[in-house]
Amino acid sequence: MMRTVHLKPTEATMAAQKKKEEKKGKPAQEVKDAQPAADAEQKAKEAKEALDGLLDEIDDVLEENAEEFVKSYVQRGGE
Amino acid sequence: MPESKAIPKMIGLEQEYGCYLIGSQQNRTAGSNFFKQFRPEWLSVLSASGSLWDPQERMRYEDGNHRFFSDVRWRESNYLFPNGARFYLDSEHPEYCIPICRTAREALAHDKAGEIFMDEISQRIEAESGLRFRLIKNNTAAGDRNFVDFDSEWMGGVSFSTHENYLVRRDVLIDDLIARTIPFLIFRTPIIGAGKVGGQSYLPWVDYQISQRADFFKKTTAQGTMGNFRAIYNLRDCPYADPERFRRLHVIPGDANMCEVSGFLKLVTMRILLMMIEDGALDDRFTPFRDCPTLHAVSRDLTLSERYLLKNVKKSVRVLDILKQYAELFLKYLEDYAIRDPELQYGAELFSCIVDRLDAAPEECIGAVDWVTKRHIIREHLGAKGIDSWQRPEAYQLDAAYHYVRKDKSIFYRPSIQQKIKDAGYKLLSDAEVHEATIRPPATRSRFQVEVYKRLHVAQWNWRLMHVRDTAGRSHVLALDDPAKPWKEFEQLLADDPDEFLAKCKQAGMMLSGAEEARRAYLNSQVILGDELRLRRRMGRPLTPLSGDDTDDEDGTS
Repeated sequence: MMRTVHLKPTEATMAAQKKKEEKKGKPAQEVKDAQPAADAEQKAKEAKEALDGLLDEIDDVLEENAEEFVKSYVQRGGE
Repeated sequence: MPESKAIPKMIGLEQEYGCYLIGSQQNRTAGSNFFKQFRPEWLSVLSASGSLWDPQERMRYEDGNHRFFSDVRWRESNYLFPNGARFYLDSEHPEYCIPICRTAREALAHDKAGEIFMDEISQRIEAESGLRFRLIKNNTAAGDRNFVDFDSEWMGGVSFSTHENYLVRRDVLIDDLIARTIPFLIFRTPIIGAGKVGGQSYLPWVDYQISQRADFFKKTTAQGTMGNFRAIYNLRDCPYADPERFRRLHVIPGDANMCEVSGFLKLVTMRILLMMIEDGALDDRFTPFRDCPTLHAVSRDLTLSERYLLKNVKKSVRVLDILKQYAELFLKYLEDYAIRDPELQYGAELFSCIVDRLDAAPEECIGAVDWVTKRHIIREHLGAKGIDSWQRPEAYQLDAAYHYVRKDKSIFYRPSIQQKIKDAGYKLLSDAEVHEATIRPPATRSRFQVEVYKRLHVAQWNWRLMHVRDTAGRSHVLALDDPAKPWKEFEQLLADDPDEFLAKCKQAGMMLSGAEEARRAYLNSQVILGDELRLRRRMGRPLTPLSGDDTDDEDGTS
């Protein structure tokens, strides 16, 4: 049985949905789980922080110098 | 209300892994080096389930029984895994082929299980010999000019595969199948593309493009999968099943996915599309004006704003508008034909949602769609390092390191990316589900093969044929002709005694009669092995019987 995963609507997708419905002549539905602006700001900040973490994480795991990597990662073609 | 004539799609997925040995300059052969160090005994440790699979008893390294072929040349290069998957070496690449799966979700879990096997095998090798192999789940790398590819620009020089396989009714006209699948294979690129820094030298240079594979395709149809003129549609006709009833569609263009959403959509949309084709419910409105140039253009359409000329409707349309139309048709088809499969319904809705999101704000697809995720990571990384060009080793390195299967080394598996995936609702599979996929075959023909092996030890097989000896030592060949046969029917045939098992199979009409038929079936199945050059070499010499000296040719017992 499929576990349904509901993707959270985001501001941009909600706006697109609204536009689509307006175009079809239907009244734009109110999206129930729309988040307040403050919440969205908080989200953006969190995303930025997560990103900062990412850059450090990348530096931590890269095992060799990029030039060395490019020089030695050579493959044979496959199917 | 029309009734659907579509058959279950029964999904297969093959992944060739790039392989890189840190500190070595001989990485053309790193894949075979990695593969040769694999010991099947490790499987009991890797799958962490001694009770399900007893390698000491069933998979002794020296007896060769667990391998697919008695042919000596294959003995060293083909393993059956306890989850029904195959692991083998193909053109110097370790290749993992999932067991036959019923749903996209099941296939996705088995694809992820493949990553876990590669991860753990490389850790094991590292612990034992200190060799640091990095398995890379992608489809492109730097490579020499060889018989496969002419172009050898730095990264992006050679390509290796991710192939999808789907079961299709034989009575669908091949021309329809080609004409209806090709437009989707071209236009689905923004959903499934894995992202690639650079491109092939015969096309205009780009810093970054959506698909890893697109540049390598130069014609519309062909029988082979390699060479300088790879084709979008592969005509190789090897059903691994009753050829009168089934065709196995071997899908060549497609990228390896790290993101579960992309990986899932790749499979589930093909399930629906092929059902529609079987039901004659898809017309030719999406046919592009030209095939390969359109595929190249879509892959280079990073803003998704280009317009593509559609031949039959005489209109130029954006790729996302084409995908939106597909999404609507998918949903309409499921409704019109009253198909109540929750996965298909969910898949069509998710597809529609991701297409909308790519249109409205592509950055929101970070964690869902690989090329968007990878682009973001590389852009940020280069920015932080103060590098203003994408034609730099740092970009190529991240391009590849994104696809490492080692969770502790992979860019994709960095905690902040994984957190983002969870937060956005882009995590589809649970860890338990993926673990399950490493130890348990899906309830299909694949589980039957594993179960027969566990009971009778001596079976040898490919996907379709199974070779079993009775207690008197005579050989028999079983043909598992219906990949969609329900597990209940397979289960009833299982027996610990080979004679009882063979009697049941005979009653079920699964025995091939006569050695000549077996020989022919074996020859047919050879084609499916994939390596055409090897096949051609093989065809040049007399055929070896199915299992060397132990096939009963004359007395008609089989």
